[in-house]
Amino acid sequence: MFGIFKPRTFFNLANTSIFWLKIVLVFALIVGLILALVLSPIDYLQKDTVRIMYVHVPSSWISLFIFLIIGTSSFISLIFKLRVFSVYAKSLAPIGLVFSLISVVTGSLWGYPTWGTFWSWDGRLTSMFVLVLTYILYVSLWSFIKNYNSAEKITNIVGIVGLINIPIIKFSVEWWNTLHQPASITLTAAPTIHSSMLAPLLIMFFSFCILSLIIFLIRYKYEIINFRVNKK
Amino acid sequence: MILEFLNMGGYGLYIWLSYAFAALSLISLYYVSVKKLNSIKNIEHLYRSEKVKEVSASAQVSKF
Amino acid sequence: MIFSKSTKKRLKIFSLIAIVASVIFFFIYNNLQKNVVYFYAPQEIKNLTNIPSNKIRIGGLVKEGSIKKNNNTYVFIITDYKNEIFVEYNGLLPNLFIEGKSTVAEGVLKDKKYFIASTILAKHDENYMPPEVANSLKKDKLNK
Repeated sequence: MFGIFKPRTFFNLANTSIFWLKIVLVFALIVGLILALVLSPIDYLQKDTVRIMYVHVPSSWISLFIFLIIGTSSFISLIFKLRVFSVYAKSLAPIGLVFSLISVVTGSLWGYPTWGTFWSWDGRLTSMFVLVLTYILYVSLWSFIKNYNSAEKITNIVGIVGLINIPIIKFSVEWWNTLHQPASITLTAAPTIHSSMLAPLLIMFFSFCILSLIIFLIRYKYEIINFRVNKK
Repeated sequence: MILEFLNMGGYGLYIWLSYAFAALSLISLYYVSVKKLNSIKNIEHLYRSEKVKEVSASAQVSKF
Repeated sequence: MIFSKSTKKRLKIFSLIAIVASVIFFFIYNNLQKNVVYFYAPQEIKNLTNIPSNKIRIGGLVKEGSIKKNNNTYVFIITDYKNEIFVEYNGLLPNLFIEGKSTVAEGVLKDKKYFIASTILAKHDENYMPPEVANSLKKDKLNK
């Protein structure tokens, strides 16, 4: 039942899929960037700054989604002792960190021309800042604690505790008065983004997902080999 | 025309900085990951050759 | 499902911690709801018992046709359709500061009806569309 979670099965899958994923990535990224930077229209209020959204929103989604996986994997690893899940989480963390940083930086660069400020401590921006800190803590704990078993345990706990922040980030714009606008794309209602802007957004999101997957497979391979070399 | 495109209606600086930051950080993440993997592949390779030498040098360490 | 004894034990400990953590989280969340206000709506200002002397933020819509400019000083009205507050501001306005759209003003209350802002932020909403679509939407609205 857990066959697919076995490192060796995953390993073989990784080697064959990276090549094809790279080809898909190049195509998706070219289409996405042309749509985002050239073909998509300007917004009626934000003008061209809306183009920053095509990087900002997918990065934010991915950084949240990756932390969701890290938290769940940490839980499975800690409680059910399926320790390969810690390796998944460890391989994903740097990717999530980079995407959360991109989200914050591009958000600030959008905020200055639109809001009139790079940063403001409202609910969404503060909780996103906490996510970046959690990622930094998670990644640095893995590198600072030399003993693999204790690093695994402590990062598992950080992953599970950090999970609390995810719904806070998601619902901050609904619970509190924030400077940040509420979500335009929700599961319950039609998106409030015009289709000509939704297309580049989704294609960029798809490309970022593929890129994350490629980097994850590379890092996962590294972690598995590293683990075996250290064990011998 | 190219200048007009780069200018992005006066917001060019913010837009290009955003895309540049995203591109640079993602590319460096990719290269760091690949480099890490390659470095450990080399170690594994060395380790294998060492092991072969050791085994051929003394047959007693067959337990290894 | 069949779990080993130690897994069951870990599950029990974990669920206990999870329950305690969610209670703590609930209290923190409730407190945040009361104390950490990013901005006040004009209606909330009206309901205040005393005027805070420290810096606060108020947010709402910029009332249409209310912006008046005198040298570099702007005076306009922030409304939430229930209550209105005059805002005085001396400085540059952000590009997205538009009549009928949301804004957040940072500053001090002179009285319940008058706010002296030191910073004005424009709040964007969740709608994204090309200018042509926005124009046709506007026309539809006028025709109705």
